[in-house]
Amino acid sequence: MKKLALSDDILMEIDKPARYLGNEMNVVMKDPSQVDIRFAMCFPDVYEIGMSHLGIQILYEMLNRRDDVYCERVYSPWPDLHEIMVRDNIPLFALESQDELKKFDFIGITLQYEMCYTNILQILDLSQIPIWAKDRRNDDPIIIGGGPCTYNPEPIADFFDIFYIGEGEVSYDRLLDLYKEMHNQKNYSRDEFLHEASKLPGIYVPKMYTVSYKEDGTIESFEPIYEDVPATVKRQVLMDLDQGAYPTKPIVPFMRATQDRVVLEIQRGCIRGCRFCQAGMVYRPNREKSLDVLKGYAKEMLASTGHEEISLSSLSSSDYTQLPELVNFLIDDCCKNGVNISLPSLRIDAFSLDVMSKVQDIKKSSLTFAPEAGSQRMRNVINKGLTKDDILNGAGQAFEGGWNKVKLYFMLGLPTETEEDMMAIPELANDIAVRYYEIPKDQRNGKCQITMSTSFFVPKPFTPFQWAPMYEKGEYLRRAKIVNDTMHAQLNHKSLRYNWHEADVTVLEGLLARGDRKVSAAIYEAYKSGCIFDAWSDYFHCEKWDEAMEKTGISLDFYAYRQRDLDEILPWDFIDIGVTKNFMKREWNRAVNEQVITQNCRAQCSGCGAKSFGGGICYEGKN
Amino acid sequence: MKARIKFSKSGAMKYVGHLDIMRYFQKVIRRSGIPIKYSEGFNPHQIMSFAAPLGVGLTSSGEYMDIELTQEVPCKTILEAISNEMVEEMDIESVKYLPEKATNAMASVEASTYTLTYKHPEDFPFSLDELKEKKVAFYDNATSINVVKKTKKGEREVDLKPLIYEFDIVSGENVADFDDTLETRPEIVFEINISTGSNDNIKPEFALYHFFKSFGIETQERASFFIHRVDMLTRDEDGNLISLDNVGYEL
Repeated sequence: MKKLALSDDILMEIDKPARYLGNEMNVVMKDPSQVDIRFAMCFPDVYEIGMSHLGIQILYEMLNRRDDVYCERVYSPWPDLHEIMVRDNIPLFALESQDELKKFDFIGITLQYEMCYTNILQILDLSQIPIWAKDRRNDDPIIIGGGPCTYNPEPIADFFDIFYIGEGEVSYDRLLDLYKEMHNQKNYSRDEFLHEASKLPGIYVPKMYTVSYKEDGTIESFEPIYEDVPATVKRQVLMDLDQGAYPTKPIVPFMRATQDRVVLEIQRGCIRGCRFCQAGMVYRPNREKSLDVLKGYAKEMLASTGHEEISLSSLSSSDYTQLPELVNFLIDDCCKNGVNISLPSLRIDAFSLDVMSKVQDIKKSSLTFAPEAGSQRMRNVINKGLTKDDILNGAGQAFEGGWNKVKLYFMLGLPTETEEDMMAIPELANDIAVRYYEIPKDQRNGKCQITMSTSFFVPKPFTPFQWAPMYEKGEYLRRAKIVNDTMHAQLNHKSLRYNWHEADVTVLEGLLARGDRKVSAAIYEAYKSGCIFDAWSDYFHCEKWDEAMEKTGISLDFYAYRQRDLDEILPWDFIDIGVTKNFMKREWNRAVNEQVITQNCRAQCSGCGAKSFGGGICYEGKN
Repeated sequence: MKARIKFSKSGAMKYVGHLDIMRYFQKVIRRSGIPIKYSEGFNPHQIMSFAAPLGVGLTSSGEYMDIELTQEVPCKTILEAISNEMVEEMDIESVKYLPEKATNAMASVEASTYTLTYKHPEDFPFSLDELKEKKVAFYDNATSINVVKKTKKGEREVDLKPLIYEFDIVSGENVADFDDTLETRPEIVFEINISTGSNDNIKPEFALYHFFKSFGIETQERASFFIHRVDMLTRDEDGNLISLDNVGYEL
C-alpha cells in the first residue's frame, strides 16, 4: 500500500484524517530520487483552507513542469494532530511522498494574512527545522516566503531565508537554477547561496540587510551589508498573463474544500484605486487574460476535475472588458449537466442582474454591495466611486426582479470618520429597505432582509492609508454600538440586521501588518506560549498575545495607534512595488485634506508609477 | 436503465469517509463522460445510490453503487471510462446492468462478509486452537447470544445468534482478502458473515467484542481490529444469500 507518515492508530484518533493522505485526483507523483530539487509548497493553515488557494496551485503546476524539481504540498496540522506530533516526536511531512520536510531543499510558505504568522512557526517547529533563520545550517531547507504579506515581511523576516517579492512566474527559474548549479559544483554553502540569490530580481534576503533605529524607535537606516546587494527589491510582474503556467488539471480534494469549484483567474490588478486596499495597489497594473485562453481553460478544467461549479477570480470582475462574452460562453457552453456558475461580487446593474437571474435561484440568493462607507463624504475619502444612487438604483432593479435579500459590507474606524459617517451606515440600509417597500405589496416577495456587516479598518503597507493611526479596542466597539443603536431607532429596523467583527484580533492584525523586525520576538513568544491558528476565533488567545508583547517590549501605542510621519522611513520602504511613495502621499492628501475622488485607471491615468512595468492598462488603447 | 458498479477501497483510502467517497464518485462519473441521468429541478444531481456505507478506517473489496443511465453503453466501456478516472487504492471491480425490477443496492443489502485481524497482535496471546474452542462455546453450541445494543433511541437487547450467519476463525495463511495495513501476514483471521442493512445492522467488531467478552477479554472494537469488508449480500428468490454483484448481468 501507499506509504503514510502517520500510523493507523493516529489516523483513527484524529479528526478528518483525509487532510493528511495526499493521493487526491490529479496529484503529481514523481520519483524523488530522479529530481535535483525537492520543494514543499506550504499554506500555513488547515488543509481545507489551503487547498482552496489558487496561487499555490499555479506554483505547483509551474514548478512541477520542470523535470528536475518535485513540488509537493504541506498544510498546518490541526491542533489535535499538532499535540500528537509533539508528544510522539513525529516530524512534519509532505502530502505526496509523505517524506519528512526537513530533508527538502526548499520550503515555500505563502503569506496570505497576518494572523497565520504563528502557524509558520508551527510548520518549522514540527518539521524540526530551526525556527530562527540564523540557526539554520547548510543541510537545512531554504525557507522562502511569498504572497501579499511579503509587502511588509519585516515582522517575520528573522524566520525566513528568502522572500520572493511579486509574481512567482517570473524569477523562480533563476533562483532554482542558481541553487542547482551551486550544488552541482559541490561548493554549496547556505551563506553564499543566499548572498548570490539576493542579487536576483525580486529576491529579498533579510540577513543581507541591517537596520538601525532612532531613539524614538523609528527606523534610522535600512541598508545592505554588502556592496553588491541591491538597496531596493523590485516587485516581479508577469506582463502577459496568457503566457503564465495555469493549473488546468488542479488537484481535487476528497474533503469539501472551502473553494470546491473550478477557479478561472480572469485578470490581475484592479483599476479602482480604493485608498484602503493593498491589493489594489500592489498588483498594479491591471492586466487581463484573453477571452480565448479563458474559454479553453474553462472547458479543460471542468473536464479534468469533474467539479460541478465554476467561478471567476479577480479583484473586480465587472471591470473585465469582455465579461459579457465570457459569462455568456459559460452559460451556453459549460452549464450543462448541472454545472453551476458562481459569480463573484459583481457590480449590481442590468447586466449582472440578468446573468444572476439565469444562474441562481433568486429566492435563495442575496445581492451584495460593498459601499465600504455609509456617507458620500467618507466614500470620497476612501476613493470608493459607488454613490447612493448607484446602490438604490441597483437594489431597486433587483427588488423588481424578485430579490429581497441584500448584504452590505462596510468598514468602521476609517481616517477622518465622524459620528455622522457611522450613523450613515444604518441610514443607507434603511433607505434600501424604504426602496423595497415602495413596491406595491402584491408585487413584492414578503419582507426584505438587509444585512450590514462592518469590519474594523486596518491600515496596510503600500496604501495611501499606510500612515493612519488605529484605535483602541474599546473605541471600535463604541463605533459599532453607534451603528447598532442608530439601526434600532429606525423605522424599518425589523428588516435590518447588523454584524460586526471582533476588535482585539483587528488591533493585532494592524500591529503585525505594519511591524518592523523587532516584532518577531513577540510572535515567537506568542507561539511558545501556545498560540496557533490565530485566524480561528476558537483558537485565538488575546491574553497570550498581550503577555507576549509585554514581555518583549512591543507596544500597540507605537505600532498600531501612532500617526506616522509622512517622512518617516517605513519598514517596507526598501521594496519597490512600482507605485511610488509620492503617489501614496498625494493620495493621502487628496483623501484627508481635499476629500476628493481620484479617477480609475481606465478613465484617466493618475500617474501612480506602475506604467514603468511597460504594459497592462497603462498602455491600453494607446497603441 | 440501471447499472451496478462494484468497487474496492484499500490502503490510505480507508481514511476517506463515506460522504467524501460519494462526492468523489460524482466527480469521477462527470470526468468519465458516461451518460448518467440527472434529476430534474434547479440543481440537477446525478442519479446514484450507494449500498451500506463503509465506516472510516475500514477497507473493502465489495462496495456497490447503482447509477441510472440515459443510454445503453457496453459494460466494458463503462468500466474502462470510470477506471481511467480513479485514484490509487480505489478500483472498479465490475459493472453490470440490473433487471428493471431490481431493488436498489441500499435497500437490498441483507448481509456482509468481513475479515478481521488484530491491529496489535501482541495484545492477544491466544493460539488458533484456543480461539476455535472458545468460538464453539460462544457461537456453535449457543442457542442464543443475548447482548445489549446501543442505538440512537437508547439501549435494547438483541440476540446475535440468528444475525451472525457464519463465524469462523482461521489461519492467515489460508486467507487472501484482508486489510494489509500491517506489513506482515496475519496469523489469525476472523471471518464473519453478519446481518447488514436498515433492519438488523450489526457491526462485525461488535460481534467480536462479545466473543472476546465471553471469556473475559475487553476489546476496543474498531481500535483493536483491522476490518475488511469482503462483499455485500442480498437474498435471491429462494431466500439464499448471494453477492450483490450476482443480481446484474453483463452487456
